[in-house]
Amino acid sequence: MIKLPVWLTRQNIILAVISLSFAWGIIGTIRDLSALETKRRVKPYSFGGNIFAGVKGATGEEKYIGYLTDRDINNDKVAMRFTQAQFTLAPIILDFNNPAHRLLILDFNDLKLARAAAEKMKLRPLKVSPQGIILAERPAERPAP
Amino acid sequence: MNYIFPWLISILQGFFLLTALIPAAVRPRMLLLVFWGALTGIATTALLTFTSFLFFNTLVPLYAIGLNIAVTTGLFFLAKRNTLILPFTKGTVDKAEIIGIHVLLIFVIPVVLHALIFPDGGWDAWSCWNLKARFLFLGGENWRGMMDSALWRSNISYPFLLPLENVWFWCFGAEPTTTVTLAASCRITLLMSGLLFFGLKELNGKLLSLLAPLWLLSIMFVVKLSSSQYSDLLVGTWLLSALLGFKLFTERRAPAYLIITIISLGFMSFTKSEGLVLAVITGGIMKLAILFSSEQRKAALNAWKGLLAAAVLSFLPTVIFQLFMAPDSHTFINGLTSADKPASIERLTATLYFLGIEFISPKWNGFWLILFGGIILAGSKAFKRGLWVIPAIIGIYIISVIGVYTVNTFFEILWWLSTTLNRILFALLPTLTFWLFNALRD
Repeated sequence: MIKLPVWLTRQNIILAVISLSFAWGIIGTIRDLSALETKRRVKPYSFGGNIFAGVKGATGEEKYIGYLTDRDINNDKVAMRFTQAQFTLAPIILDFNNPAHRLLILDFNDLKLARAAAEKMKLRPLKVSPQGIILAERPAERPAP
Repeated sequence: MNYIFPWLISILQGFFLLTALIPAAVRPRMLLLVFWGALTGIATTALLTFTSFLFFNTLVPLYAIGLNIAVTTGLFFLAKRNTLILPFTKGTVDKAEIIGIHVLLIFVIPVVLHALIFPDGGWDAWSCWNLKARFLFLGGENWRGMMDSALWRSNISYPFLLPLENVWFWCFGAEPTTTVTLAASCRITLLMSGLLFFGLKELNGKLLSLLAPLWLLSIMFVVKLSSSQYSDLLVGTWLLSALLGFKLFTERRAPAYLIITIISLGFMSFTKSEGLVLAVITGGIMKLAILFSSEQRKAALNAWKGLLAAAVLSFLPTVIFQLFMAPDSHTFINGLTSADKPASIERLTATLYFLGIEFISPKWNGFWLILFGGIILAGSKAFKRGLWVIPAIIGIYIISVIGVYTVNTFFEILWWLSTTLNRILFALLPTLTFWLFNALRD
């Protein structure tokens, strides 16, 4: 029977494998951090929701705002955009595709489509952000004569 | 600069609390007490801040700060009665620990660099945790808006320990700054690493314990998740804290450690739904372990009043939330009763397949294979000295997770698995590493 050296214990075998995994991880980390540094030079900070910050000043004390879009919320990118908008505008609650609120955000694929939708619903635009997001107000309904 | 104060108050509050709880004769080494105290103190200061919402229905920063300073001062006197020794007292920290803490700080740098690019964290962080924090901080009396059904995509039925921790830090400024959310990922990573290192070193006395957190922090995927999905790491850190407390209780027979274990479980249950499930499973398994050991049973019975008080106080936020606040989950369909979306064997197969794929995925740097191999090599040592509770807890938890994936048919299974399963496994890494390194003990 082969006699194993005294230092070749089960414990040392596992620790050696963990050390190898650790060393391999360090190489990966160095590689990743250098790629990250390149990324940071191009874009030092990343948060998509900032494009909604532009309309924030005009929302007042509103509790709910309807968020209207022609995009498909089942698409992850659209869902992400909506939740980032929600994060940026909190504590206002964005009600997805619910046009019943006094204030509405129109975030369409195309600004022309958003303007057309606002016109169709007879909304009064309060603010249009450089990124093409419209904050509009639903005119108060006239009391019945 | 303002944020140094909440840090200081939290660390001191936790440190004094643990010092007041643990008798000097069985107290752990100083740096474990500091790290454990910081983790506990950040949670207790956050939960005391929560009382502002309960009493005034809004955040009153001055009340939160005043209350926390008063409680910390009270705990200082209690700790003083229980032979308080401060961290900077000569001889309380050894050279190996000083080396360890510096190395850990270096290894947290990649998390900091990732967090700098994404200061609001990943999707889960800004769609749920940091969103809730903003509601709590900015919402005034409308803070409960964070649980409005219109926000069903943001896990409105989840509790909110992590958001409250951020709110506690924001109390020291006027704005909900990204400095705090950015620091949250680094803070939780550092506390997890420190607890793992100093906890293992407390048990085996070896500097080699440092390899455990370093191994985790060398996995790039872990670094990325730590900076983006830090709520899962918080669950993982509390689970580690509970198991470390239980291990020290079984070895030293000091009920104070069982009290800390219960506190950890209570706080974990207020982190997220997975934390509540883990707290129930862990509590149940530990209770069994105590019942089967006459010595542990005797030690626990001697301190039943303290244990009961710890359980009531630490689970109180969860009980209040679940009974009076939590809205119904909008993302649950019971596939066992639903005719439209029934549970199927395909969902179960897909879950098991994804689980298998995760275990061999290169993104984990072989962690799972090494873990399984290590446990096989360690043999019975991995289950002795009370260690069997860890695989029992993790095993039951994984079975529960598989059950939820199979039965809840709200989400399309492949999408759901691909976006969440890795995070569930990620939360278990600190505890599993703790298990493996304990199994390697002489």
